[in-house]
Amino acid sequence: MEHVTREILWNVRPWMEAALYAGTAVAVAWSLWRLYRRVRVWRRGRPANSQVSWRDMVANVARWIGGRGKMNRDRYAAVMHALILWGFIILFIGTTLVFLEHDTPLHFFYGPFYLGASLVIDLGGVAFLLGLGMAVHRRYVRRQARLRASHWVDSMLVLMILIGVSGFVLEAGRIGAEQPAHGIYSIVGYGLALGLRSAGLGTAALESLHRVTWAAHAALSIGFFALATVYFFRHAVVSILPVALKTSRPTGTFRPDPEPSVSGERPGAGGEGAPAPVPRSVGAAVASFDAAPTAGDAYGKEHTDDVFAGIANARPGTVEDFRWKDLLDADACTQCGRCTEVCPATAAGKALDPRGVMLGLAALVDREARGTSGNGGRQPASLLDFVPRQAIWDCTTCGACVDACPVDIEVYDKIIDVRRRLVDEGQAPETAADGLESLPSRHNPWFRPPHERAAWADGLRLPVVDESSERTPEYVYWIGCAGAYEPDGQSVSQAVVRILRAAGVDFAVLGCNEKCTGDPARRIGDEVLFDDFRRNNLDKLRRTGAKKVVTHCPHCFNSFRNEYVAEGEELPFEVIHHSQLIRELIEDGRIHASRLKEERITYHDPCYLGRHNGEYDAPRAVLGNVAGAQTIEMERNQRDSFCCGGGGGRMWLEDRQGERIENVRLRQAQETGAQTVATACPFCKVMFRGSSTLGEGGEINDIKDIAELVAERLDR
Amino acid sequence: MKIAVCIKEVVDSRMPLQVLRGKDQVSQPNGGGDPVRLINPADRSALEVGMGIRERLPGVRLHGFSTCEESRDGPLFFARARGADAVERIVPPREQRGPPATAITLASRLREENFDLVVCGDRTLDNSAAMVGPLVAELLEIPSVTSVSKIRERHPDHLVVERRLERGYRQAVDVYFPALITTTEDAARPPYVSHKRLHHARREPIPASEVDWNGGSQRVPQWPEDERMKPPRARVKNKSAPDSSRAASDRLKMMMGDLGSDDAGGSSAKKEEETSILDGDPEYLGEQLYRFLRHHGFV
Repeated sequence: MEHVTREILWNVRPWMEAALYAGTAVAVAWSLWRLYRRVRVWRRGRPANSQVSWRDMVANVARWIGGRGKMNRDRYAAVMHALILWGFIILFIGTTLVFLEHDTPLHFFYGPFYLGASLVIDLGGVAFLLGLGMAVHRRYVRRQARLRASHWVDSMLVLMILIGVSGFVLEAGRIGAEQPAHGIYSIVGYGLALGLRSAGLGTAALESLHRVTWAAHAALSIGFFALATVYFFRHAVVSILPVALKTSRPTGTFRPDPEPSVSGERPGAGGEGAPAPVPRSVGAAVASFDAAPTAGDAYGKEHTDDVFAGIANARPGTVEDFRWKDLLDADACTQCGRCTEVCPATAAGKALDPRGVMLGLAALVDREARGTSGNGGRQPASLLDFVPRQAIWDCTTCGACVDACPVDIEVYDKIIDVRRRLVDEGQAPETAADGLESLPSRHNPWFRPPHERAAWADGLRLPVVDESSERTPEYVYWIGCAGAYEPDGQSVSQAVVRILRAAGVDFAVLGCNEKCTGDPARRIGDEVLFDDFRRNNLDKLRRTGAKKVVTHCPHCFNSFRNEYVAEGEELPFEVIHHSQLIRELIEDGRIHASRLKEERITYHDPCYLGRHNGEYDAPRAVLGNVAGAQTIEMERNQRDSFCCGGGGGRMWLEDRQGERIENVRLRQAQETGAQTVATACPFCKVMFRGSSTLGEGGEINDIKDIAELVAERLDR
Repeated sequence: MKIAVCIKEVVDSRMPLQVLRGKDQVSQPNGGGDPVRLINPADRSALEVGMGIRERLPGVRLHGFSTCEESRDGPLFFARARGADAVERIVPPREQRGPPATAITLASRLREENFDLVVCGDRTLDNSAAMVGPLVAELLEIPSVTSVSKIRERHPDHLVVERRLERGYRQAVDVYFPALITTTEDAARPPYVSHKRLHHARREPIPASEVDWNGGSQRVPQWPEDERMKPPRARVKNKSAPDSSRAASDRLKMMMGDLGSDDAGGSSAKKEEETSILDGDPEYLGEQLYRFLRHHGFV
């Protein structure tokens, strides 16, 4: 069977062969060198502070390649990428086999193996071209809105299509000229050869065709290798890394602040604890294939704000402010735009564009990799050279972008790290600063007196947890600042108390001893202040001996559940959201929301209960047991829900651009024809109640918490 | 150029307080716990005014001072976190209370170094006497400009500051160094200082110093016992006018009668009586108030 094979590099002149090897070596070396330059920039980032075992990495990659990753949320894109990826892998393996046969003592490329390989390689080529065809259709025929026009993408598609097509043509030339008996196993090349022969091309012409297309194929392949680590091409090489490095950290858990970065006594001037200044070469940008996009190009939206005007020395958002994983993520971004497509801030016309943030970060890495710094070398380059400062404060941390990213890039982590640096440099927006100022002294973010924290319960005669008492109530009811001070939150607290009393639940509150969980501090960017509250609250709850803490605030719930103890540690108590407890009370028959009141209700999923903590069912189960409630789902619900605009510290930030996010969401609710929007978060309720859309169009006339809906229907 | 900024911690008297019976303590009502303490807002503004000069003029050093007990040195840590080049706590003299004693203490320390500019808040939340700044200037024999609401220009040898006067008038004043200015609460918007910076600032204790009151011969005006103040005589006016210290919108409302006749201007006759002005820590003031109320049978 040894004769069943083919002559490798048939019809190729020795100088062409030498040029192929030399060109490939140079191209690969060039690509690796460019990658190395970027790795050097990644290494300047802070430690990632997250451990992922090799086993987890393999499992992550296997899950992703096996089609169980988030890529599947867009079926078309998933199939397209699978065809291109697997086609490319097969072709690459085939080329490697040819190389091994030709240039090593190994001899295996004959007989059945050769025939099988020929068939599989041809099928791989078909898959490759089919996937590329789908990409062309998606980008230029369907014109999917989230995809950005880019000459880099265009050139990558053209290059890969030409590589695939030229590969089949040269194969056809060889088969047509040689006419081997087993040629049919290369089904595409064989078919093309038959076509060329029938078109009148003779052996000499086919040999010439083969030689020319071989040269073209080799040149295109060399070009592909050379560009493999450049701009858009890079994602094909790097994107697998964030997938492999994905941690099990829940999305609602912010990464702890990296080691202190306080820059000495004068903001930004360096000093103890400040990152070491990094020497940078200064000069004009080097003309190259990966010439850095301009700020507008990178971000996708033009912005001209000179963000450092009037600020002495402060330069947040430099490479050293990020973790190496963030910088890697930036290079791994596929620019697919799924994050931007689902971002509520983008939908409301705000400055934030999550993809723009990642591209801005990639442009920052690019600038650093090329050794040129910002502002003509006077100051280090910063993410804020590419991304408007307002975008950093527009993020609601709803997590939709992270949930949508097919390669598991944690977009808002980058935003939060920049916020932290801005807060450290005294550059928090005024309203956010007011909220933060209020926290340490008044223990709430609204500048309300601490002694009024329990005013919502006047006349209710609630039992207050006594640390000195040996008796511990079954539940400590954690009110939260919104439930204690905001009128729209107070009514929720009062409704929960009615339910707990009706069910005979043994509970108590902390009264004026309760303090904020620190959630606003963490979302806005004062990590140390959050930590102060965390330790204080944990200590207090430990001293009360509480075993179960129930809260109606998903932000408090998330803080307790995900952020109060490090990964792997256990909270000293169980934390329960009120929707879970109410569902349990209903299922146990301890309460009956049976007083009939007809109402069409649509439920809004709070981000910090749903997407960040996976609780979609309990509130719906509660609503399902509310007498007279006809529930209608909004188009964007559960995992695809749309933020109310109050998360991520946005409650304390002003809307400077675009529409208010709560207005957009409320219009979505109005489209359902519901009369009432139900939610399970006081922040959402406050935001919707304050919406100018409420009462304008649609039938929605009220915003209620699920506890209020139950409490007003209690039959005892 | 050297700038001294004088700062102080106060109880936030904008919130209700209560005297705990028999404990000589002040707290928030309804079990709200200890009273909220904060940097006196006008002092914080003074610090920011100083920082603004420091950041815009080369070679400026800023020192923060506070006359306080060690447990009340939070503002100095804050000043350090904000970027002051040096901070110092001046141990208050025993048995001496009130603005005169504070002024003499500060002046004795400030005299040791020739500061080009001293910046103080114009008044405190707890007694609002607005005396310390001018007294310090008098003792240091330097000019003072009170109630500065804005720094218009900063020069190496002088400032151009703005004072807000009655009826919307604004006065621009050239202040040549050495000088003392007192600033209003809204003279500068202080940035938020993160807790990371505050924790960083707390890594080292605040240096403390004791001052010599010129060998103890310095005469301290008694405060508050000997201070007496009488309200102005009731004067007949042809036409009542709203109180000029009110906001323009309130004055308009008064003229239109929205705020009632009691508030309509300063012409209402008041019963002349002696008024005692007390000064001291909130605990002390609370105790005095409690005794007064008890003496007169209110509690």
